[in-house]
Amino acid sequence: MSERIGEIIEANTNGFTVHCYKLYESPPLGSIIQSGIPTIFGVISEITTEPLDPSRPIIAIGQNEPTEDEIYRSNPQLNNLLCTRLTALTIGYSNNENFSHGLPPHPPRIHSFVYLSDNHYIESLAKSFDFLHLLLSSGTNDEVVSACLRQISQKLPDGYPFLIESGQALATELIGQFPRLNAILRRLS
Amino acid sequence: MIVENNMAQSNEQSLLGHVVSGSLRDGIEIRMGNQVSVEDIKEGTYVTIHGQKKSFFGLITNVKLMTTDPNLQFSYSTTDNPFISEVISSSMTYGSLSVLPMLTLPAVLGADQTVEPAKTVPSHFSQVFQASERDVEVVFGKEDQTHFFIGNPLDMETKVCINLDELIKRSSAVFGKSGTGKTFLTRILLAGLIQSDLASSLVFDMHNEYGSTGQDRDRGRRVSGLKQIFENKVSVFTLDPENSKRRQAKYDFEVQIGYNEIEPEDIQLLRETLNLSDIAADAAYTLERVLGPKKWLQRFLEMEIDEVYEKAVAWNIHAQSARSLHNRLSRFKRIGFMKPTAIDDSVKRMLDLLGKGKHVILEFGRYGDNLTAYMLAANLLTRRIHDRYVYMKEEAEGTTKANEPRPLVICIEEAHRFLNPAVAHQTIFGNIARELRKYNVTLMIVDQRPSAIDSEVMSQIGTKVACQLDNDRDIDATLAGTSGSRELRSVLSKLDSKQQALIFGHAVPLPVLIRTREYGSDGSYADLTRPSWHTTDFGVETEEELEERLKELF
Ligand SMILES: Nc1ncnc2c1ncn2[C@@H]1O[C@H](COP(=O)(O)OP(=O)(O)OP(=O)(O)O)[C@@H](O)[C@H]1O
Ligand SMILES: [Mg+2]
Repeated sequence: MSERIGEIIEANTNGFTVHCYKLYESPPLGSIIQSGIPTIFGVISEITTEPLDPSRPIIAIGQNEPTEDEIYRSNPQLNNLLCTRLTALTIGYSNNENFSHGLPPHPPRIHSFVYLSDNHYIESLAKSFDFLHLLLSSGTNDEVVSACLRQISQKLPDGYPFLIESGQALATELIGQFPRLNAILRRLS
Repeated sequence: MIVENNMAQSNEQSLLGHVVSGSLRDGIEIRMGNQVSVEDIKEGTYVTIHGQKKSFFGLITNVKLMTTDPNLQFSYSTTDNPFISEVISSSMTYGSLSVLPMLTLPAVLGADQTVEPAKTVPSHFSQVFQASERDVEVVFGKEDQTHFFIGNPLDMETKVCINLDELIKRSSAVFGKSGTGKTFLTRILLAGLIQSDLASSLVFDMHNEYGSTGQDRDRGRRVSGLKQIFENKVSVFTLDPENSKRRQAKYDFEVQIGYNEIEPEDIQLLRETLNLSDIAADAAYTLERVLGPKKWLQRFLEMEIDEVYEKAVAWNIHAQSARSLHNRLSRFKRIGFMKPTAIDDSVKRMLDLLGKGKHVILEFGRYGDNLTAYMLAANLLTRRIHDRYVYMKEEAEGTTKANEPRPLVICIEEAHRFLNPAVAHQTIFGNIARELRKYNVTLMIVDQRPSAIDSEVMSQIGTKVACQLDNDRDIDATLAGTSGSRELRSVLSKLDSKQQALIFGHAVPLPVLIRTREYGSDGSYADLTRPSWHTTDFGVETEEELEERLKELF
């Protein structure tokens, strides 16, 4: 298991929200992360940075600072007032070695540690395209789908055949929705 | 004999796809799997379909490109972007095959179980395979005495066999435009008859291509005639011995036709070629009455034109008609084989030989180009031979089958001359075609203009062999009354211009597109005299034949 990135602060069976340990240090959109026992896998579908306290809106303070970085240097408290959160869509779970595509019977616990999935898990995930159906029907932006597929392909020893096969799977999922399919495929090529 | 029909075990690689829709009448649609390319599939090839309960044998009649989404054709990315085009072409596009189910195949091929015409269709998602060589063999039969190897399916080395028994039960036809291989095919079919011993044949060899030698005009060489291949089974007669000598073509007998043999109905047939009015042609009947049967023509032609004029009134014939008849019939004098009386009774000689199971080829020499001579001789000889068959058949009535005359196949080129609607009702050929095999005589007609043949005659033809035809009317005429003619039409219209033919009708269990068996090499002749099923050599005399010849000698 690789790097720990944060903890779950909100969860349901469709997905979960993670508070990242470090401001601005979330894995990129579409990355696959995992958490909990049984391990639940999710695809990062949204990344947000906002004030910790929603009642204290942020104001512009850098008018006299020469660079953006100077703002953070002059105001070290910002790191405690802001936080980076991400939401993930659940695509599968595993009990020991049995990997299942689909939604888990229960959501993960709050404060479960969240890790970036390593290649070993990604390869077994990439053996089937069942997760595409979950992503496409979740209402999330199609960009998440293409980002996720690109991420996976980069982790595989030979990514191109994977992209072709995922394209074919998308064509089956999106039958009758050619413009949508076309848009996703363009982002994959 | 029980042969395990292991079609169900066809090799995985030949899986073409699955049945997705269709009907018995219009054929079924096969969705092709992605592993096969449409470019590898040819119209006219065979498939076997493994239904839930039965296997079906069918013919590919169309190959189509399909997409799962009609919007695809409007998108540019499918051609601009190699990734997208690769994805799309492997997922949203597929090939589709139209297949005409022809036969159902038994699960086990036993003595009493044979292939049957398909009366239903395979169920949804049945697997479809390219027919294996074995499948084709199950359907078309193995080469044996009645199954004659006529060619190979396109793309296969399997032999397609034609059932000769069925072929001679009714008249058959070889059609095709000029130079497509009609004569080659007909010669091969005749070789099959000779090889099988199932029938005798009489060939009116208009262009001297069947007997002593044949011409391969395309390759500019000579090929063997049937006499050269089946020395002891074929007799060559000639109407033009001089020409035979010039061609160094051996012949067995010379044929002359006496004026006394000509009957008024022969003149009817020649009406068009001689450009005679109906009245003039009918006058021949009057002449026969007044001048006497058998003698009329000789006497008429001996007369001077003035005398004809004079007598016409007494005969009650229109003078002008009598005169034009005299004028046209005088052309007979220029036909070398026409004599006041013939030296030999050729018909009797031919009948003798035919009765012994020999095959008679009548070469026309130069007279092949003389339509009057060709039609006159063919019609007259056929009429007399047919008369004899009618007599023999009637004699044999009520006795054993062994007394019946041996089946006879009469082969004529340019058949529409004898069978066009204007004359088909009067010529002996028209009669033979219509009376089916009542008297054990059938026709094998060879023609390049099937549309010119009387439709009633066409409907009586049992087996048709069609080479390329490019005239729509000829294609229509050829396919008229055939089931699945729409599909066959598309197959027929795409035949190669040579050595390919579509065979359909009684002698084959289903229409078959073939590359005709090669004819012309030494090997091809050897295969004809020594078919795989036979142990003795046909070129050499059998013991019986030797004995017979010895008897004749002493
Ligand atoms: N089975 C065959 N084996 C070898 N060559 C063939 C065969 N069939 C056709 N050919 C080639 O095609 C040419 C034409 O064939 P053929 O003379 O039989 O045509 P056709 O239809 O009888 O023509 P036409 O109408 O002029 O009489 C032959 O000269 C030969 O080269
Ligand atoms: Mg010819």
